[in-house]
Amino acid sequence: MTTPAERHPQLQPLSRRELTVGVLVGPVLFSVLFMIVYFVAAAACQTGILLAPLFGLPLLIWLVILLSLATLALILVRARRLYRHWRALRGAAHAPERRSLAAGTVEEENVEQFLSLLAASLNLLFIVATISLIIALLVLEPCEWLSAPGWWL
Amino acid sequence: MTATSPRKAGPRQELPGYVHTDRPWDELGPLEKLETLWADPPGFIGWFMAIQNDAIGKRIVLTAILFFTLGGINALFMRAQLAVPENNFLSADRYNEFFTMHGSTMMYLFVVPLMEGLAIILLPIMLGNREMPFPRLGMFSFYTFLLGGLLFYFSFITGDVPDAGWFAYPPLSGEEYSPGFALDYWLLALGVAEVAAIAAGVEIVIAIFHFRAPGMTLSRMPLFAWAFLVMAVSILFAFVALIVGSLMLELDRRIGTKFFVPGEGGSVLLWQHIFWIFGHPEVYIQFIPAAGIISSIIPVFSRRAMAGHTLVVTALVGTGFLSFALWVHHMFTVGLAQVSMSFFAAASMVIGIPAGIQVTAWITTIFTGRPVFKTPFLFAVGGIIIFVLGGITGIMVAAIPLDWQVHDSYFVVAHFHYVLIGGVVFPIFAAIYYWVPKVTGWLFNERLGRWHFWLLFIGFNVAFFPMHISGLLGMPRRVYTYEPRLDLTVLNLISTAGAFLLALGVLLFFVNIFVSSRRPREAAANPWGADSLEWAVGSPPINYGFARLPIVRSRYPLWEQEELQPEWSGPAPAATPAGGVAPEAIDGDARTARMLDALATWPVRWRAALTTSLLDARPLEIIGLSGPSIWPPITAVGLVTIFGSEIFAFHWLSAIGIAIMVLGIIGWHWPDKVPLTAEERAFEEEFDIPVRPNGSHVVSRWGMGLAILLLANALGMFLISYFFLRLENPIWPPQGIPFPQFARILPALVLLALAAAATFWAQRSVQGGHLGRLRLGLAVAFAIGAVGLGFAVWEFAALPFGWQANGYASIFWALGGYLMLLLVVGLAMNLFLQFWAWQGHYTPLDNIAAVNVSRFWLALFVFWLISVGVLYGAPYVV
Repeated sequence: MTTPAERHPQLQPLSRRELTVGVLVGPVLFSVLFMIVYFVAAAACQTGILLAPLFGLPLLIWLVILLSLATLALILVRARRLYRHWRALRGAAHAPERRSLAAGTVEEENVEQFLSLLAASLNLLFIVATISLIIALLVLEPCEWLSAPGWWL
Repeated sequence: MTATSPRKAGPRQELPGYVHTDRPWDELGPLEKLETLWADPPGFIGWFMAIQNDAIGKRIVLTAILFFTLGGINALFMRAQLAVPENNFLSADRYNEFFTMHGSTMMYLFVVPLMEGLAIILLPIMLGNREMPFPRLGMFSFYTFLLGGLLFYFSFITGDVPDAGWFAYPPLSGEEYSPGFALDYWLLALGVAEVAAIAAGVEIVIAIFHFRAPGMTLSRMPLFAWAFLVMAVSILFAFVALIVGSLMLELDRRIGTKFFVPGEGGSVLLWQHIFWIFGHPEVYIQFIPAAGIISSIIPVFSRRAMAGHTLVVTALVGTGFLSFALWVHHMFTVGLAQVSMSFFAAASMVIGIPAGIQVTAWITTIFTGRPVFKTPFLFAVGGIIIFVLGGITGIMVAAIPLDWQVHDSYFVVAHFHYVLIGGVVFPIFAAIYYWVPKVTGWLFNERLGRWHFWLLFIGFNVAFFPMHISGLLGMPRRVYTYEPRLDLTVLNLISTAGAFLLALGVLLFFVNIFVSSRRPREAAANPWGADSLEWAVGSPPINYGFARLPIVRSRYPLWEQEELQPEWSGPAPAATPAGGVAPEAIDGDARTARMLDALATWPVRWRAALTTSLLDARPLEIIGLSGPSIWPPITAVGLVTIFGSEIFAFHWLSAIGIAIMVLGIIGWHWPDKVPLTAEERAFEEEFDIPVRPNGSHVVSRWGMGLAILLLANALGMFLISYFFLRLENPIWPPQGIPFPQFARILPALVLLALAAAATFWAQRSVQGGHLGRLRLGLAVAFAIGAVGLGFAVWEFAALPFGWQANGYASIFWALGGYLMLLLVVGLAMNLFLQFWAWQGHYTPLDNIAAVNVSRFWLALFVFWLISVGVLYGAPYVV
């Protein structure tokens, strides 16, 4: 059975900058997306622009879906890279040391492993958040409220 | 240590003025010198000059507990009023005042300050250092918080008690419906407390980034520190939003701007957006540090490592970010577009994921450990149970249809009290029972502690569980009474009985403090068998914390590094990494160990601390920290004088306050230069580390960076307000107001760019050793910047509309005023720097102040560029 290090002989340590960016990329991209789509949607609903239908959905929805998918792709790429890096580190020479500590076990990682896993899991969380935005868009009418026909659908 | 004139003491000229000793300096041993050097001054004035993190933190916590008690008394009055239907115990107006003061006190004057005080006490010893990075900023934070809180409660004495809720929605909070001073108290007194929160937040961020012991990499940093880091960063973003919103509302009330006046180009919804951009993160600003407290306590009393450590960090950071994407879920009933609400509903449900991760990690740790049911653990577990129930109802109200049904009902009151009392108050009591032995040196009475817990736990549930039902039955919140025919009498009576039971529990807590401190049982250094560094020092800790700063080689240093055990009497710490930790974790470990040995006995003529790198805690600098000073309290008095006098529109008193504040700031930052001696240079050479007795470059850079971030946040809120009002107004600028002329502001913008460039040139010159060019560059920059300011003033003075005209005019003036204020601050910085440049204070190696001023001017130019682009360009584009 091969170790991740053997499967990834090209494994290079990530730079501190890359790790820091990796931790922040998901949350920051999601926050930016969130602010943009909120203001675009508010502006579209207020002014009536971007509400013309295209393939059965308002342009606004297509725009938001497009922005969300782009964000999703960016986060996914980074999350995948960091997750693979963490897995490779986990089995390689940098393997975390497991030590018995009273009733529990300490699995101590070095800072690179820790940040890789932190970044991958944070990005995963914000992938879920981004997907949940898109799902909400697909089941609701964009600009109607309360008494509009079909608002409950 | 008795107080005598320092002139009697040894070589006075080598010691800072704040060092007091009655014995010749040379006769003191190394530890005595350290203790003397780090001691606060004695006497009455000395109390105001006290700077030690321990003293300041304790004062903040005690003041917050005082306000918690006052807020709780307000709540008891409310519950007494609601005990029976159509009660006349309180009038409707008085009831409004009590629920406003209760909510405002708990949200602004209790939890956030208490958490910050706790951090100021604990972080230095938990992270393995000697102090916080800005001791004087901590002092300033305490005095502004104390004075702001007292000013707020002064409203009871003058009879103008705020009564528009802790959210102060306009138009209710506007001049028309809230005449008098009540809302001005709310806006200005709490504004002071918000400044205090931000000041402490800055300090906490930098402490966690750069004041960790060597080897305490991010992967080994305690969860407590992670949680408080997220809290502090969130404060920097959220509280600025509230300060900007409060300023705008106060301007509406006082000088007739129209930000929140519908029909005149303003919007009441703008306030709701601004308030909840602050208000919702505020809930997490309270919960996240509480989660850090629980994550510190659960492993200790479960006798095992924390399950899912990295995932818990993920949850804390993720919650911090997501908390800023939830604010509209307080506004589901105001009539927003469905698509907008759907974003917030989705985010409100997603935030259940990180909360669930944390709860799962806590439960796993408990179930796979060997729990010891001491009082801190009971409070932590009780808090988790209550918080989970509150979290479930939180997911329920994240669903828009259910929110419409229960909005502004007692169901919501029950929900957020389950979240905030379970998720915050119980962990705070857990923290008090857990860390008070460390801070005071005595243990709490365990039996009274258990009684306290059970009374609080039972009383809380009796008080708040029935509110779910009364809410579903339609009982509205913030209404002073109800009719008998609504069948709410029994539920309300039960709630009131529960509230008094809860209060009895809190009373028992004070009894416990009294009993335990009167007949103290001495606490050992580590009475709980805990894992983190604060338990390595004595109880209470000596004023310098660690004489020899520790090297950290484990996430649980006291469980795995026996040399850190308080009772350890073996050889000095090994100079090589133990336990298979990656060798790159500590750069040059043997050298670091020798350096820390040396640092235990040197220097003893200035307060030395160590800064380390952000990710992997490598030693960066030996730095000098500022000593006791009377100037931060004076600055705080100046600030409170300004805000307090503006409540009553005493502008002349405001001017005096400004003068006091300026004087305080100058005194505070007056450089107390410590000359570099041969000793410092020898230390630098031997250990290859910069020695900076006059202050850290790293801390200074971060300080300026965070200051610029705060100013950028404020600018962002103004810009958001601009675009929000633009959306609300189909014609922009409104009729009667001409389009802005870019050519009229262009000279100011160009001159500002030149001034920023001249400042940059001056800074680069001093780095190249040209002190003369520094002086010249700064003088030129000042002259150009002043002319630029003149052009801007000329442009605004010539505007054909005043700020009272409409919403557009108000935001135009507000943004312009903000930019000009920043420019005045930049010019003042320039003057300060020039003064010290002429005194010959800067050298090629010691010029961080020039670097910081240069960065400020660069940021200033960017702010101007963006804002001028919006003010003068947006009307033509959108």
